[in-house]
Amino acid sequence: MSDVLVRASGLRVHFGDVRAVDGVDLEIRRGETLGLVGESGCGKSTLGNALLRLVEPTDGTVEFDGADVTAAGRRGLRELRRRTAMIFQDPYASLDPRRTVAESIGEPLAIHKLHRGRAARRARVGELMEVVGLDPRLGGRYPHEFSGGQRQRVGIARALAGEPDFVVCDEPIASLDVSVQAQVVNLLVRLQREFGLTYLFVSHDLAAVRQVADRVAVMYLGRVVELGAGTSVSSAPAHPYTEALVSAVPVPEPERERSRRRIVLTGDVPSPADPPSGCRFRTRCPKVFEPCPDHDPVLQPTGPEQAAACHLHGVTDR
Amino acid sequence: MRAGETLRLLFRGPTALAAAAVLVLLVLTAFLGERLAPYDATGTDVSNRLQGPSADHWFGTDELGRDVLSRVILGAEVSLRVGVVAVGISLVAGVLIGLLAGYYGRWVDDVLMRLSDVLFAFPAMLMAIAVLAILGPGSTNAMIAIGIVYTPIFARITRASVLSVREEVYVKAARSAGAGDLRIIGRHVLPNVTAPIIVQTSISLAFAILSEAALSFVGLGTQPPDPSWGRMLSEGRGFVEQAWWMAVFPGLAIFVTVLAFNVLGDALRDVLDPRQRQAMAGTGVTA
Amino acid sequence: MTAPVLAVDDLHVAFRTRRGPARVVNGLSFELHPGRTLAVVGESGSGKSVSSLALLGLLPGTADVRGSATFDGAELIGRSEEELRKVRGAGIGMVFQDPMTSLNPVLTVERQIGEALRAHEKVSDDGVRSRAAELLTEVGIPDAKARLRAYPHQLSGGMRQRVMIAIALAGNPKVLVADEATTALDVTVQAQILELIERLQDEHGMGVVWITHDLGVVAGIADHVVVMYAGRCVEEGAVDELFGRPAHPYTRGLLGALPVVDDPRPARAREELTTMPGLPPDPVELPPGCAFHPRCPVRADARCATEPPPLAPVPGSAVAHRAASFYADSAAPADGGDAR
Repeated sequence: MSDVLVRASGLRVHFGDVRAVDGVDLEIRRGETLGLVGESGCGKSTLGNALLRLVEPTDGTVEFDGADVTAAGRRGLRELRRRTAMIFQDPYASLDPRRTVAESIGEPLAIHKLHRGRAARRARVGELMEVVGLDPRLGGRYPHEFSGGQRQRVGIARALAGEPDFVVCDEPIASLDVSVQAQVVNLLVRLQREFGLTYLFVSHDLAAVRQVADRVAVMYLGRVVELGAGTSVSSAPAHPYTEALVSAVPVPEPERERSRRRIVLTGDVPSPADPPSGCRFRTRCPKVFEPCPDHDPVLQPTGPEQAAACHLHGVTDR
Repeated sequence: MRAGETLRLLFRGPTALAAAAVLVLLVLTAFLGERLAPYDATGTDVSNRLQGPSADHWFGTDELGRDVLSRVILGAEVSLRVGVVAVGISLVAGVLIGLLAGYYGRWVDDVLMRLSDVLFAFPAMLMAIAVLAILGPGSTNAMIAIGIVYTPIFARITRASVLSVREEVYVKAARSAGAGDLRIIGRHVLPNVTAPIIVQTSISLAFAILSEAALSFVGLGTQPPDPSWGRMLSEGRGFVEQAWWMAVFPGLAIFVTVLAFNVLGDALRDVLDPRQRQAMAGTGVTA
Repeated sequence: MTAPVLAVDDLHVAFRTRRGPARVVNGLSFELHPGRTLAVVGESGSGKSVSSLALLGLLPGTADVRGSATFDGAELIGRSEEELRKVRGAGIGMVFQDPMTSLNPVLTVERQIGEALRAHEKVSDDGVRSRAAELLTEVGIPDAKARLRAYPHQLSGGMRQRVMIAIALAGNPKVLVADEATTALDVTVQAQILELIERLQDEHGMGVVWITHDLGVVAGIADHVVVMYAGRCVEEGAVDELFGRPAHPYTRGLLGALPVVDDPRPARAREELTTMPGLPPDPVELPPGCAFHPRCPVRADARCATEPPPLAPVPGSAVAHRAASFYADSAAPADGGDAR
């Protein structure tokens, strides 16, 4: 059994002119949490969706447990759907308002014909609700009767229903209040350890990603620009963009926060429909130098368990 | 429980309650029909023709001496049946078309919606008359004609809602769990587009009843001697000066029924539209 | 010490609802001095935004506002719409969370800044244009002359927020109220905006009220912090004091709930984040006594459930630091709260 559960190679997802994901190679190892950070429009959510084939890739392949997902037929896709799941950002939007939470949680069971029979299914739904810290007696209620944090728990229970191996958590805490965020983060971590899940944790919040992720991938304009162990990416970033990102995340300690050197990037992110030539970050990079406009850097090792797509570590070209 | 809340909000005001009461009465009248009618609605009595309203004949009699009240009562059944069946036809066909067009989009949408545009481009009455010219007159064919005419409205309303529901995250969530199109359409999309369809059904019932009356008025709908409000109106036209009751009572029946359906439709719209609903509940406090 | 430019005293706001009054702000007091930054921190529903809207008379008619708020010594609460309009902008500028919905999509940037300029003084069209361009340059928008003709949708989120700040600056306000002004922005853009506001504050000597849920941002920019829960100030103090020795169990819980980006330990070596059970209370049915007691980890006796704790000086602190908890002095660090 390979160590790698999910592998993307040369993955591209274009929507018309917009190159949301534009050439990503990525491996997600069995049992790990890979954090995927980046700012709005960088393509991180699209990448998460493409790995589950919820959007069709324009080019490249995705392998799940050795099987090519991009070429999967009806049956292969069905199997993929059972073995993978997604947790969504907005717990208000991701639950059907007309179905009880028990119906929502039980839907994957019905689809994949698991725990057949009313009693068995109800028992399983109750068990799932307990696992995520919800009172099973609330199963007959509708989403609007729950708080944001509780709804997110419902979403998590639904994701776990089919006993998946791989879960994409797409900004799972972005719409929650701080104190509720912590509850959901803790829950996700606990569930991973309990069920041996593999996570892709997509978030714009680097601090949250660091709390849960073993390894971190940083995206900018459709590309992964840095990849490495969480500790090294945040303490010794190898890509100037990561460096700026880490420095911009505020730390809740006044003395330290005031003395930290914030790298303030100039300008805006260029349009993903018309990315700059060469290195895509060069238009905002404080360390830009001669090769940047002409050579498109590839991810290259910069240390143990760390790689960056930057010419500072040797000029490369795709 | 959600239905309960809807009903509670719906009947908070007196108008919706009154409209509902009128419609309940109408349905009862239609069901009881002959048992309620004081006379045989088709039985002629030439000696008693063109009598004004009296204790014996509350609504008077027509030119053949038939009791207008009894004919109005039996006409309720005809109007309601034509209305319900016609709207049923357009509801089923329109919702199906709207679901398919909205959910699948692309060429399915193009083909279905262009077809319904063509249907929509004709004036409704003209269209119904054309259909009846092909199928021949009669109340059954009138139902089919009216049903065809109102199909595009349901198709459009359904499609518009489907287009927005299709993009909802919960639909994507179902897809990510492996749900097929049939399941998504049936379990997630359809239940979430019902509100505007219910409203449209109520309003369309009013239009269908009007259309039936109009078609019967021009002689293409319900055929004599069966009583129909439109037909009675048409027959009464020639006697307006001698016997105003012949036209006024069936006209009043049409008016009240159509008004009730419209009022109920508006009330339903207010209650089922979530934005309106929040405003009505009045607890939208955010800090 | 100078006189406060903005002083709020015992402010109450309740919304009339069908279920009864929703008491969203319940006796809030604070002072803002010229050139200083006051952070009002709280989660959604804490009343932090409502209180700032109340100052400017921007609440809907269903709101009952009591108490006092003075700007430069003049009372704001209960003043007429016309008087308040003069204060808005000229005295107090506001920047909101979502720059897309706070800007009018069909008007150019110039028109919108121009409106704000004309509201306070008579200016010619040319005067408006050159002043608007100056303002855009001041908020760091390059090529300001060309940007004047842009519509909001042609600008990025960060640019739009800069335009909002330019509009807020049009009347040379003494106080800037920033309500979650960087919440919708990416962190690198947030860093730009924070830097901009700090610079403007230095140049103009404005007092800034920074309303946010983000304690990280607060740590970097605030002088003084007010922590709100259920419409009340539960703790306030100088920023170093409050973060260094958080006294209220709620503040400690909030701080413990935050992951720290540069914590050197790998994820698997970290302890769980501190959590508080339950939810903030419903403003229509506030719990008796201390509003936080149903969720409080150190609640010990019946007093918490019957008697609202007053905002009192935290024992043993040298500087101004007050907390509204009977257990503010049992300040053993909350789980994980001070562990790093």
